[in-house]
Amino acid sequence: MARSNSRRRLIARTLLQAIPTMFGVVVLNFFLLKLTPGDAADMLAAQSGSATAETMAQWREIYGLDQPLWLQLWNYLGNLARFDLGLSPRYQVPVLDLILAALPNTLVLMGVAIAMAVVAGAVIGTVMALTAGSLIDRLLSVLVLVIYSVPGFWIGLMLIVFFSIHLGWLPAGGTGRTGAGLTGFAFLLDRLWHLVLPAGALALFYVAIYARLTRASVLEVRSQDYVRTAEAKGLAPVVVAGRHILRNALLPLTTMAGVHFSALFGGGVVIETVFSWPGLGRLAYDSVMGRDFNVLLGVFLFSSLLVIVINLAVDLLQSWLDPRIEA
Amino acid sequence: MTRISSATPSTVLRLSRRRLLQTALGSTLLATGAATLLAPARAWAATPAPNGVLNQLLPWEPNSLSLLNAADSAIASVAPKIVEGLVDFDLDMNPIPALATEWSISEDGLTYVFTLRQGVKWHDGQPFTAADVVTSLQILKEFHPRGRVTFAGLTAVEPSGENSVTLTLANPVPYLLLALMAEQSPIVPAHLYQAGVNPAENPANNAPVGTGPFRFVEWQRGSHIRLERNPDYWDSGKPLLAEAWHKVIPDLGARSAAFETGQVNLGGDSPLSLAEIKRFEGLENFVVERRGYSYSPSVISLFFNLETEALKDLRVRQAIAHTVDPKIIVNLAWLGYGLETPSPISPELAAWHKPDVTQYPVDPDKAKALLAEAGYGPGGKALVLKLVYSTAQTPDTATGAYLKQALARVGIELTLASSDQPSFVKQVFADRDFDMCLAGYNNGADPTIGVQRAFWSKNFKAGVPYSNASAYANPRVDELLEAAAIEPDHAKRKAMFDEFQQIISDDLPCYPLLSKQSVTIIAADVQDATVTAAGPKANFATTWIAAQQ
Repeated sequence: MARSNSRRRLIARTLLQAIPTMFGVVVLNFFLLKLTPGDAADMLAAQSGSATAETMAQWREIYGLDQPLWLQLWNYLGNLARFDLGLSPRYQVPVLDLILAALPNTLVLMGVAIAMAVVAGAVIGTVMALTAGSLIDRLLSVLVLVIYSVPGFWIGLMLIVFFSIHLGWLPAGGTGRTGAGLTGFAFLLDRLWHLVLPAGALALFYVAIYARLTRASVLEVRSQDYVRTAEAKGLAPVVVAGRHILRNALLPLTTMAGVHFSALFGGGVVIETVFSWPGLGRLAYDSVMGRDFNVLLGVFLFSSLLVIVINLAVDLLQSWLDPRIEA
Repeated sequence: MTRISSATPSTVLRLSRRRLLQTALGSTLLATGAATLLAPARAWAATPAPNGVLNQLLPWEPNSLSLLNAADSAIASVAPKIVEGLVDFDLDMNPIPALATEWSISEDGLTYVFTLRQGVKWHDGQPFTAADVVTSLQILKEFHPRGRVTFAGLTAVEPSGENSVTLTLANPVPYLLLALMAEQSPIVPAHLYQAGVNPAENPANNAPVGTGPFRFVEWQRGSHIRLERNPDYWDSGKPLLAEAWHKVIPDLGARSAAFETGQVNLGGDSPLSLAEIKRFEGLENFVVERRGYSYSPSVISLFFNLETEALKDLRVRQAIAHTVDPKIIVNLAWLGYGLETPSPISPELAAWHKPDVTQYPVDPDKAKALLAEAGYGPGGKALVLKLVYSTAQTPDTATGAYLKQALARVGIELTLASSDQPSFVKQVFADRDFDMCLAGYNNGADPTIGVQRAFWSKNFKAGVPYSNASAYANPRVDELLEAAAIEPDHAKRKAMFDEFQQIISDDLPCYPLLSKQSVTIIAADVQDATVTAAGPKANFATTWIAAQQ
């Protein structure tokens, strides 16, 4: 009872704190974005190759870019209070629609990537720790070091060259086979098939981190008294490794994975671009290039919300994994 | 006519260690890596595949699918398949019928009568009428970024008789027909658009209804735009394709992969890095097509800011021209994908281009002498200039590096300042914070449409992108441009543009470097893809996919 109460309090507190945080994110980013040279009208004119002064004025009037800065901010915040993210000047489509169309793709990509990274990292790390000092450990260490040092976009491109162009096994980009009219299980399988490369490329860097982390953590836990007790009890090594060592060794891993989830947004921009993955990162990148600040502010707002929610989830997960941690 | 590649499969090469190392170091990443991984050539039959699908690459996400109030190459790669224009142009720029079956122009060039095609239906089933043309032209005149200039002299558009439309002009507009292509002046349904109302917020922009060979199906932002065959197309039997997809792939490296894995089979406007295009020229599975760009050649010039003290001196500008070698820029920065041009009117606009204007052969000694005369160089003042360019056009970076080296040889110190497109536009045209800039001006189909704006003193307008960048003003040039804009006689007009080009080459408000040669990359099984002057921005009604053998 006391436990569920404290959990509820944690959720309430986090959500309450989220409001000023998100307000800060919006206001700060609003001014930062307004500092960048050029606006949506400049970009539209540049893309058109030419425009008259009248057309430019017309555009600025429609998008509200001719108003003083404080009024623009006031209007934006006013709309936000009504849960209206405004209209994208470029696409003439509500920002919310654009974000909701891209968000699932990003969540799927990041979710699968982080899951792949945690699982692969934990397995490799455990193997390294259990065989510490041996040849396997050393080889894996080198491998981990290599994937840690190579930039994600390069890995992405090389994976495409190898698996898509050379071997023809996996698709080079996109979220699914277009025009195949797949449904049900075949559709799901096709989506997963398209996920392998981008999620893999995004995950690799984190696999390296988690493998190192798990190795250190497992080595530490392994020397604990209760592990020796378990071994002395005559439990099978697999049971000891799984139940006694790994469960406790995973704690630092979940903490880091939670922190990394927000960092994945950054890496996501590159991977989404390389693999033509229509997610939030691509949307943000396109919006910077097109000076579509309404969309960009919307993306920032959603990302900050997402990070807050995920941190909350990690806190809850931690307390579930290790009941000693107070929620 | 058709391109059938040979059936011999090329060997699959192995990734050698040296190649791998080169790849690791190469900045274009895929360029060399994928070069070693050629897929075997496939064989194609000379008969169309029954369910042929065009998968066209889009370099960026289009803002909308309407060219009514925008001119953007991504939109233009989709929209003309759905929404048509009154006329079209063949590869030699001769007008051919589209929604207008015939047209007549009065002797004085002030009245145009277009006879409209009969029995044409909009994709939503409504009949196409003269009212649609009237409404479209009225909207174009008021809201299209270039329409305001092109249709400035248009005083009235009225239906005349059952199926014709009469255009009345205040003064002759010799290039009017050229502006009536789908890419410039789309004809939209009057039951969805209203004259006098800004079309920017019209929902039909994102789900267009047209008369063209393809109907809009869906647009998944960030992923694709899907069109399907219009079974009721007026040109019966066409289109030959079942569907047309457009896939947005912003990353250069990913685009090469998309071509090689068959994800896309056509992409216009030089969609890959120039080094990659060179490589694709050697691949059997692809055709690198240079035709289809005569409608809108782009000339890249080194513009001098005539408000900069040192550059007000003609001798300094002459010295710079005598130092810079456009040939090197074409060959090194553009890998040969450009034509040298001494005039701001592209050689591709063959009717107007004048090759024998004043030339500036490379001559460092003469350049130094000119600079010394102007009071710069050893014993005089030091000359430090700021060159601004946009990273949107990758070869400009190499051009900038070359210019810095070349000008250093005659004692001019160049500082390079590059930025992304919106910043570049603001820096040059609004803040005027530059001494020289690299800027490409799309000539359009006629010098009055695309060249005049850079040199007409009345078009020196702060904050308007691609206006008169140099702040150049010459009363004679203004006079010539204004007269040529309304001169219906071809020979007289030619004489005016000749004199204009001569003056520009003497006054040097800019030093033209090259006319960009864009290419379309087409998979070998895609047939008849380039049939009109619009190239990759055509309607693709006659394009077909060869069946695989």
